Amino acid sequence: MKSLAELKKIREEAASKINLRTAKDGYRVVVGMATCGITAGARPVLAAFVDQVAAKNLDNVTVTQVGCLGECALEPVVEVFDAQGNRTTYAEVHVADVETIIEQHIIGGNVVTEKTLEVIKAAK
Amino acid sequence: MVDLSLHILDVASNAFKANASCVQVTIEENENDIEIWIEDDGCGMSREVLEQVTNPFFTSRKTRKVGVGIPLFIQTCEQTGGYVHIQSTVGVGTCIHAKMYTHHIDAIPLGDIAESIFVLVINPYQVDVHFKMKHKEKSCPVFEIDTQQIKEILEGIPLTEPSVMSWIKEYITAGLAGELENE
Repeated sequence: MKSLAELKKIREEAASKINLRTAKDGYRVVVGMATCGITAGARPVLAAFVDQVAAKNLDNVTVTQVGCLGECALEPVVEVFDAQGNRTTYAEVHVADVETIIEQHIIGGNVVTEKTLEVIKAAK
Repeated sequence: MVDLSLHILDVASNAFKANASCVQVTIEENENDIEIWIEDDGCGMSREVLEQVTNPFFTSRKTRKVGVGIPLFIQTCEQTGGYVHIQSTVGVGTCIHAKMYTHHIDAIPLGDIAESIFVLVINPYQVDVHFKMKHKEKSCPVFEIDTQQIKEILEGIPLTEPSVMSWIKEYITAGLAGELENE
């Protein structure tokens, strides 16, 4: 059974780990969550990133949300920033693509070229 | 929008742009309808902006202060015979009260409320979220989650810490299913 008491325990565990976190050499995943993104299915994509980052213990990854990224027709749009601040923009990202992006890009360091905004735009 | 939970996420997200410190979402399932309240203490809207809010084609993009989120929500509710009422005061906040009749042929499902509330709760804008759900089945307890209370327990550990986010998601899902431990 879930309870707030459980959260206290999770807090203690997180507090002991947080000093070891090297946020600055990590990745930042940003999901566009404006009306256009939400309608296209951005919400389960954001949830899937959160789930998989936690499940795979990826301590150097932050998942966050932002408003409209300006590509309303190609939503859901996801931006991945690496530690150096280099941005990769993915378009038409669905739940099934989340694992590929995490495994190939965030863990493996290789951009998933076929899902990038440029490639998807060029194909249209 | 395919369900109400997406409208709720979309409309409540307006509080982030309104520089609110808190957004309160209340859902009440009744025998024949669902009522929704979305209240924030953000910048509010002037009468002029409020008049534009319901019309997505009122003005050009350059000067537009509103999008299509509210008009879509109004359409969803009104097509069932329901309504969306918006009250707003500049500097005080905005209160939206909506009703959708659930037995109408054009009614849409409630959808995954847990995921919408979760996404609102983990917002990166430090906006507090207070959510309350009253189910149709009276046997199912009222579920509430308040990020102010969560932050007190967390004592400085961010809501966006992965293990905390996982817990929040499970907590909301269990709470909406009436499966929380009595505390």
